[in-house]
Amino acid sequence: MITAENATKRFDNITAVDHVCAEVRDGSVYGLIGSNGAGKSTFLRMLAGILKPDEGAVRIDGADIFENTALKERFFFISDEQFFFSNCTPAEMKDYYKRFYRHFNEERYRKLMQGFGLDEKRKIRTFSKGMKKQVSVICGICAGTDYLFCDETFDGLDPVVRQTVKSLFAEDVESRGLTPVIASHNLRELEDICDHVGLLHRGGILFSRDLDEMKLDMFKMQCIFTNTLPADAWQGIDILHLEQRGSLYTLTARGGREELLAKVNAMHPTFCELLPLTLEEIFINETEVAGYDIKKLLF
Amino acid sequence: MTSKSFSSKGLLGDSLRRNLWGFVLGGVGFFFSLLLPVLMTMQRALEERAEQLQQFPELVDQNWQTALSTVSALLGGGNPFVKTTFVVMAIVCGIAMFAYLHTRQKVDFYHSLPISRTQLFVNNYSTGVVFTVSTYVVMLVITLVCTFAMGFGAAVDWGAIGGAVLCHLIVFLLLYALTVLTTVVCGNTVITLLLLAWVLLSPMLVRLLYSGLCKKFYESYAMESADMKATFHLSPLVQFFSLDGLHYERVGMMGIYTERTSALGLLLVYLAVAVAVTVLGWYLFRIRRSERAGVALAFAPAKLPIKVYMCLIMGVAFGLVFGMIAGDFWFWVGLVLGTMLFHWIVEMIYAFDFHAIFAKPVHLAAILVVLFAGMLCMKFDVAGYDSWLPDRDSIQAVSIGGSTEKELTNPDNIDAVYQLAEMGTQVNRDALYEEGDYRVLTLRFRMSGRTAVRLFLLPDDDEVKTLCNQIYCSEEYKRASWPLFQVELEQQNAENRFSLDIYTNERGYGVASTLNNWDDICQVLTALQKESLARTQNGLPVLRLEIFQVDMDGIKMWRGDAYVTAEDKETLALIEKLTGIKPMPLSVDDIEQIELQYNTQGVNGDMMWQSVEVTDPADIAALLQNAANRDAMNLGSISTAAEKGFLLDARTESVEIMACVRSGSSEDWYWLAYAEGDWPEDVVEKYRPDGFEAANDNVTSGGMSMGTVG
Repeated sequence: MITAENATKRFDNITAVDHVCAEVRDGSVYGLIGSNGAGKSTFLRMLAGILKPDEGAVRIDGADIFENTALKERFFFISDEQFFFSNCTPAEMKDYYKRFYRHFNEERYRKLMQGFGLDEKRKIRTFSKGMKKQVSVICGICAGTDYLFCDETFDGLDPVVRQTVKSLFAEDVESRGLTPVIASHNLRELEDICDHVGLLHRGGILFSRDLDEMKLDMFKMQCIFTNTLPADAWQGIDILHLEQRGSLYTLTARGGREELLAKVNAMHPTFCELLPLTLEEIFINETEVAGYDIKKLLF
Repeated sequence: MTSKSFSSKGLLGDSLRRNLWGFVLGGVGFFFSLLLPVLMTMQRALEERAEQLQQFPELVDQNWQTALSTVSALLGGGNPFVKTTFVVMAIVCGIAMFAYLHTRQKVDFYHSLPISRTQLFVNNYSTGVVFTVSTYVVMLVITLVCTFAMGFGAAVDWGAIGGAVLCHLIVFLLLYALTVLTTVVCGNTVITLLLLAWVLLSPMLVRLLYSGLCKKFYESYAMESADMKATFHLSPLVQFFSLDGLHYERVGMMGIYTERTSALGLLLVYLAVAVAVTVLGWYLFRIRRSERAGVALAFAPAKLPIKVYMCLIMGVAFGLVFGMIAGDFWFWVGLVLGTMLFHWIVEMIYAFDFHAIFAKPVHLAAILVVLFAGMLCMKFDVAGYDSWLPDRDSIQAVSIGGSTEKELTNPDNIDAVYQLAEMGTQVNRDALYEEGDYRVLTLRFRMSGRTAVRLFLLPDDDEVKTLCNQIYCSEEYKRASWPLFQVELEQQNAENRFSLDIYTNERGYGVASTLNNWDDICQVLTALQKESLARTQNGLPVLRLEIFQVDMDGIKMWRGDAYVTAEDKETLALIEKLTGIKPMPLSVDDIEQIELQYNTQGVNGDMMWQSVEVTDPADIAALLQNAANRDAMNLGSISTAAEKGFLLDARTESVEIMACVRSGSSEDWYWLAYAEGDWPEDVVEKYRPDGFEAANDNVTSGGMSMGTVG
């Protein structure tokens, strides 16, 4: 398990990550989200042992990551700006990685290279941005590590490849308990893959929670009332957000599904239905409660 | 740990394969600097030999020896091209192997891999060393094979080659370690290059600037040759090119010939520094923060000291240059401008932002205050440099005169030198400069563990003259300083052969005779050594013996002059017996004319000269009586002549008496010299033109005359 305890990183006068506490359970897919400059990459680089926290600690199974080669062998870092040796081919990069990652699965590597339609003998410098990213992802997946740290990995991938990569992640999570930690500023990218998310803003973490838990605890509802509702009509319901357009009410409220339905039906709506909440909406609501104008933060 | 051994397995080989450019650069570099020059030299020598065998067979052996020497030098430590390649390899490899630290993308890649920083350092460091060493060794082996194959085996001196290899590798390691350290300390490659140039050259600059400041502010400062040598030691880059394997050449006693001294001690120091710098580089590499990629300096605490160091040095440099160009006031202006300019430049570089030009004004003010405080301390001699005298009892040896490093340990000589120093400090302390003649003396004291040199301007009065002459005429001084006593007469061998060229007053620049026979030379010099120590009169030389050391190739190296006076009867008799040379006094018959050159100071302070021709044979005879041919005898200035044991009359330099000797269609002019008390005053005054009064004749024995100085 990865734990961050008051992890802080400063660059001269700028505090990029400010006393962040988080836990990443093994076998989960952790989404690290936040606006540009929120500190996602810095936090991820601390996880990857590249940066040493100025305060606090970042640990895997209780051991500090920085300069710990034994721990570093258990994760693979896919940077947002990947580096490849000049004039090298994917095969040469694979050979290089094999030197460091003892469980590197060469057979799977070949299969994936073939599957993605990448020529492993071609110079990487001739690849497009997306193709380079694919090479990194393939090497990362085939490294056979326990953790995979991805920094904006889906950027530049076309939708098909994006879905394929997500499937590969899911497969490895399922089959061998891989724990991907994916940093992205795009919530929609993470919605269908993450089961745990942490939101970073201005270096601090707003929250780190299980996505399913959040979805079970929060609902969006559309109701039509032909009669005008009294001012205290919604009393007794934990409303996070309420919007009225004529007789149509759209509300987001916290509470159990059955309990909420019962309370609203007791008000005799003409029409009432529950709508699925997007990750984006969950965050907007959560952060509004926390006092942040999420619309400005995220998009 | 398993993971460590797993990741490090074959890492160096992999690193070498990925950086093949290193082998190419080294290979090409050493091909052009070692193999090619040797091949070209050998090919040319073979062609010339084939030609000479038919046309000039007598030259074949000598030229072949020269070719062998050239090839030997190229194979050994005398090949500047190889040294250049080593310097290039040290800088290029040092930067290239660690420049990844300057790019975030690469830092992320390498520092996320399961490899410790130590392993990474060792791997990268070794890669650069392997590139250089392997290509050099391979190219050297190929060159040696070619040398033997082409029949130049005699040029291969294994000792010299071994020494050269050792020297090259040690200096390479030092330069490489410094480059690596600089690359680690910086976060940007351009800044690395700038800082590296500063690291390699600034210690020498600091030493030179310190010397310049001392010269400016201290009356008694003198830079001795050991200081200059130490200055070069401070820059291995510069020193490298004066090293010949395990030796370096240094200027010899007389300043003309060079002698080889062992550089082993220096190389061992360089090796120790290389190791220390490598360890420091490794330590800084380990603690270096990955996020410092791309910034000017990776270690923020180093910013201020580096800036202060640069500003102080460049402030002083600007000050000295401005002072040299425009005078003392501009020294202070230069000090301020240099400091400000470099403060601005450094701040802009640190921030990579032009707007930072006026950042940290407090730092600038503090640096200026420190600089001015330091300069004022020197100006007012707060440390008491000019009034310093060593404790008499602590002096173990002394020397006098700037051109000699030979020490005098006789208590009488030490006392005399000490008295001169006391007088000098007294003059400095009380600023007792008055109108009159002055003598410049460089005095050196060796105490236990240190030496000190002071330069004094002493009034050329009887007391100073007596003390100086007491030293110059002492047996110890003669034995220590005269070239006559530096010749090893014990045995003759290939490296210890001498020849003597004999000059007389009347023959001028033409060699009267040459002695090449070892026994003859030994006889003459032994007799002269004995007689010169026993001289009692202040005469002038009648013969000059030019001593040459002859090397294996027959090349003569000047070792100095020995003088024969009329008092040295046995020596004169020997020379007459061996060569037939008998010195004759200068006669009217030899001289075409004599010119008296008077000088005086003009209204605007410029020196004015007027020549008067003397044609009257009686006057010429009077002028030639007691005269010596100052040029033919190579007596030099009055102080130089005194060091050689001849006390010239001080007026010799106030009125120059020039004699013209005609031989065939050409005429040679000689400057005449007179011993103290033999000055032909009557004739000189007889011809003195109006406006050139003798009262101005205060140009002096030590080369200086002074007006009244406060």
